[in-house]
Amino acid sequence: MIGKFLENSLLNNSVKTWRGKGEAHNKEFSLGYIVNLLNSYRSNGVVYYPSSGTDVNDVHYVNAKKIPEIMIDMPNIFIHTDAMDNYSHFYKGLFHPPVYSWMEGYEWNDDGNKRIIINRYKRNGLDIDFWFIYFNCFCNEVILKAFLSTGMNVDIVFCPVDGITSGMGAFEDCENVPTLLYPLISKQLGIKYIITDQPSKSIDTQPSKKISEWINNLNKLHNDINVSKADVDNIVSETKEIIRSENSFKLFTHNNSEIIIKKFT
Amino acid sequence: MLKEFFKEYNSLPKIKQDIYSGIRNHCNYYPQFWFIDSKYILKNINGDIEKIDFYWEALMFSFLSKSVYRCSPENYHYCLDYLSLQYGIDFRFIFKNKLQLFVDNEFSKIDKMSNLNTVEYSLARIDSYASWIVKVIAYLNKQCCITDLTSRLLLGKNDYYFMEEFSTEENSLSYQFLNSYFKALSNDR
Repeated sequence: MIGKFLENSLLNNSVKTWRGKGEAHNKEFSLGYIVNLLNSYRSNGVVYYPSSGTDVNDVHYVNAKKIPEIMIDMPNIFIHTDAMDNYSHFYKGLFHPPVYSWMEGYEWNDDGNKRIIINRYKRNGLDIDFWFIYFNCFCNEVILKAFLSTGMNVDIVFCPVDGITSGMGAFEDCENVPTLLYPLISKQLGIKYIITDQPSKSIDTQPSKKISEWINNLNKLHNDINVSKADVDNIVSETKEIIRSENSFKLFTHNNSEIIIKKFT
Repeated sequence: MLKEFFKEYNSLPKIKQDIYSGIRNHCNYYPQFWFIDSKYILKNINGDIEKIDFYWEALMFSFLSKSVYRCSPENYHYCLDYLSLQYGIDFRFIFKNKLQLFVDNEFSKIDKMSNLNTVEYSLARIDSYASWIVKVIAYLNKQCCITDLTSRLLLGKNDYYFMEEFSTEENSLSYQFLNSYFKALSNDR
């Protein structure tokens, strides 16, 4: 499924050749090879991090060992997107020894800034591996569409920092859907958990015009989606309730965020 | 226990970062090094021998960082994050030398340069030093580790680079500490 999703996310692009990295850096690989490689990989859980920038705290912290509330022991597919160009930061290294070892990698680019970087890493000491797929200069919504059209399930959405507007839903060249509204497509995406830290104040200060725009963008993602203003109002009040309730807890990450878990069963 | 220690630990003299200058086996990523010698300690303890307890703790903490790096990589990042958030301490901030090169050489030098008897003082307290670092390990284990850190660190016995931190001379301070450390660690499991 992950391979099919990848293929789908590239439908509008003509360049199909992938470059290997490391020992395979001079080799070229077809999209078919990459698709088969990923399809043959057994997924233990998929984590999606929209507008991730270069943060990889999902890889560190989103697992049942760190968050027992998550019933997925060690997710092994991490998909990141960012509309900004983070490629140079990426190559400074996101996963460091001794914690991680790089195993293999492939890269695709469209002769511009758009790149897809696929790496497999090993978690040292645990001897398990995972794929890390980074969509550089891709709008989150392009990836959402690919998820929806291929029927790929996203078990966990990780969206700290703001989760509503800043970064996630406020990029001018994208048809923004803030992560605040992701619960409205949780059924279609198969989302089990959303890990976020949304302050109430940020929710309250959104103008109605903006909200209408988000609803419009959300409904454009897939034919199955038909969201109304009332749905959004419900999800906003539900989110505020979660913020007020004791269903939140603190998880130490680099920015000391208060992480709120929303569970969808 | 740790708050005061880390405050002082943070004030240890940092030296220019140079990962290629002979630190071949405990290159924590983006390491920060501190370095002290007998002259530095003599100047800072100002005749008060009990103040060397801090330098032992600092050396042991640095040794712990290297040990987690070598023997428990799965916990390294969590220790790094936890200590940074709780105490503002960088787990990558380590002594730029082997533990044995300090405790076996520099303490003897201090004794020669002064009327202090730091070697004898250290030997008498070696078990309590080992007990201190094992308590720190137990604390980190409870607070942030995802596998049993104590069990992982016991595997250090089989790690060549880990064992290089200690002398093989049975009379040496580092050798004595190694024995006390493993004894305390085993008892804590």
